[in-house]
Amino acid sequence: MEHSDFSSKIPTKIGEKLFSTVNLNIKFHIWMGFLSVLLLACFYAYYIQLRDGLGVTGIRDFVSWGIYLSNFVFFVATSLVGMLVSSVVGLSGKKWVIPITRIAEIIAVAFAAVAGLVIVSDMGRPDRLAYVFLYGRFASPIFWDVTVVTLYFGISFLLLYVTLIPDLALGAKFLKWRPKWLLWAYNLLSLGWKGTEREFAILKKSIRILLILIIPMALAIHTVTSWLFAFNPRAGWDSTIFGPYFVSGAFVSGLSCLMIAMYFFRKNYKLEEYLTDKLFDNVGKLLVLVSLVYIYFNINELIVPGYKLKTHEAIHLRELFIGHHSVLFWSVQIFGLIIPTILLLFKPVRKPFPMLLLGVMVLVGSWFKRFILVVPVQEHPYLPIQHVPEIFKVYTPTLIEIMVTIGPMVMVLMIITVLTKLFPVIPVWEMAEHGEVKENE
Amino acid sequence: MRVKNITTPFFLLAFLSISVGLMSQVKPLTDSDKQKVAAFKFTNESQTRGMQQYNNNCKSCHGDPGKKNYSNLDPIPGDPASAEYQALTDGEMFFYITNGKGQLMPMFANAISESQRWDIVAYIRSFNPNYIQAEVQLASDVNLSGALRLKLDVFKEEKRVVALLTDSTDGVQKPIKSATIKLSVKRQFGNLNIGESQTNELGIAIFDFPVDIPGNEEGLLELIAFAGNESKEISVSQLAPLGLTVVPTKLLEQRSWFNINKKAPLWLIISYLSALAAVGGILLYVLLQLKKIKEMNKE
Ligand code: HEC
Repeated sequence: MEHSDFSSKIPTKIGEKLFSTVNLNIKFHIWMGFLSVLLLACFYAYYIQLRDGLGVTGIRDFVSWGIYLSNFVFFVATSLVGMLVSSVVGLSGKKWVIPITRIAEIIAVAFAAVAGLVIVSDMGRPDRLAYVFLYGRFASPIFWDVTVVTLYFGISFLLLYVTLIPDLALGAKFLKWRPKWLLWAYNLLSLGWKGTEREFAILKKSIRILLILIIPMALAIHTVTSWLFAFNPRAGWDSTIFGPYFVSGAFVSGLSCLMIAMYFFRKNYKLEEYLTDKLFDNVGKLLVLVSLVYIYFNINELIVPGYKLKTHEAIHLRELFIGHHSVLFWSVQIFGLIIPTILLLFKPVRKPFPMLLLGVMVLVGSWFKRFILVVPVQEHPYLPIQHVPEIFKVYTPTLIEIMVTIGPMVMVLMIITVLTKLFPVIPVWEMAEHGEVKENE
Repeated sequence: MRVKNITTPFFLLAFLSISVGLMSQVKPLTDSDKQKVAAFKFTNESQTRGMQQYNNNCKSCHGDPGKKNYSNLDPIPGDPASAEYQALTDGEMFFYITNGKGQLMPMFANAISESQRWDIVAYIRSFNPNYIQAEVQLASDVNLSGALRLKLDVFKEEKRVVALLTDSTDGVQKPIKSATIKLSVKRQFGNLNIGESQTNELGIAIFDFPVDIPGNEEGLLELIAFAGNESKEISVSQLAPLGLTVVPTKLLEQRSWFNINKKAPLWLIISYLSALAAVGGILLYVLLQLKKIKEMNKE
């Protein structure tokens, strides 16, 4: 096959190395097989929920938003990392992010794609999903949420694809011994890319447009998600800063997820040359920055009602600080936020392995933080809870509910696995264009 | 009619008193107020009830009767057990409790019921060994057995309702004296109590009507007057132009949040659709760019 001069412009060393990860090997199949079995088990749990109704979960009249909803917020949050890395850092001219832009985009696409499904799992009548679009009201935050989540997914997906096009054209040269269908798909999707200057001009303009568009979109998606709570007069949700509070929290959970992914690809895909220590160092600093902003919002969000102690706010804060949820609350704040932030201030900690550990801590903390945001508030409504069984008062998720919650996580892992196995995880053409991305200042 | 004849001079006075009232913001004391008496005998029970009310509502300023431990205000509230206070008639005491006095003494008309206010008077009187309660014709003794007639006259300008209770058993209307008449207004959920008043020699009971009760579009209210005891009762209801004119605006008839799409606020629809169009347009533009690349490469 005659490859355009485009592929010859790519240094063979970079091309071969980065395309070597595109490889549906036995490990991939075992891993996917394992995930599929797990997913089937989760589907079975969901089947039971469909058959018997939401009564199989721990959600009841008072806590009607349980871990499904907190999981949803977590998913939306984590998907924001795409916007942070590619747009905010990328557009500011920092070239060091290039190796991780695609990983960030893949995380964004995976989480955004599944976020909608998480909401469906919370619905008693999922067959009525279409009603949201048929009868949705302009005044309903749920309607905006559906709109922005869909659009954000669309934009992220398009961005992922557009930045992939030149790499797809390289497939013919660097993927010789891979299955035929893969090459065929690469060829089809590459739009016949030849790498001319005009093509690049169009491509780069499109990427730029998408990178800019994704910023308001990402802010919208998580601000609207926060409004699902803050448009409510309940003590604990009745806050004016929920928008920025959620967005800053989203950056924290997204970056921690990215850190884990980086470590994984560095080790398993043998990408130490590209996912360098220096890169980890930079991401660590970025996490410190967003965590400090998030800590700031946390303090503000707790100290303002804490000073005024209006009756119901006081009940809520008491539950968090010393009551029923205090252990979880303080663990999340201390181990999921404060300790990682302090540790990451030190350069020796900003190394791949310690950052993997801290990434896991922050990510787990982020998940439970969403639980803290969603559940306790509902346990003390303004009107007293009277004459109800004990299980109505205190929410405890059931096994089925936990399985149905794990399902979307498995899906995310599957999407990430498939995408990172079918396509190079590091943008080849951009790496070639910018040389072996020099250490950043 | 007889009622009006009697009440006309009264209303001249009322006009005067309203204008005076507007100046001082406090209702002036009239002779009939002074002569007003309780409709029940003061007993140990009523004194005990009165003590509770007193401790809840009055003690903070007036202190414990007889101990002169009232608050140091200007003017001083005074000790209810003092000779000055005991020189007041029951009617005066009741009047001040009901309507307040001067700048500091609050009005309790809306806070404590009429019989509870009399209980307080009973309690205050218990500190006066020389006190003898005026002869009362007990409401329960009033003979309400005949062919009763209860009639309401409404004076819109003066915001006054006059009730006339008569017995026409023998074909002649005879006034019933010392009967308690209760006036209330029909509201959405139950009746709002306006007040109680005793009929006088002429069978007439007078009510000052509040100025701030919302009525319907025409300012009409449905009044309900009630008189009665265990043996017999009578009530009448009648529409009266005593309310504020209220034209209800139905939230759901105008464009507003929480309304169906057809009636959603325009700015909201426009913002939503234009944001959607803008994002959709940009996405379409990018897709067209991709198409352009594809077509370029076909040649
Ligand atoms: C906020 C403090 C306050 C409270 C509460 C209060 N009073 Fe008074 N009261 C006063 C003051 C001050 C005066 C003197 C008013 C004046 O002369 O201008 C007064 C005057 C009176 C008078 C008239 C005395 C007179 O010589 O004319 C009576 C009767 C009276 N109070 C009874 C009561 C009763 C009964 C209560 C409880 C239901 C009560 N007050 C609650 C402050 C209070």
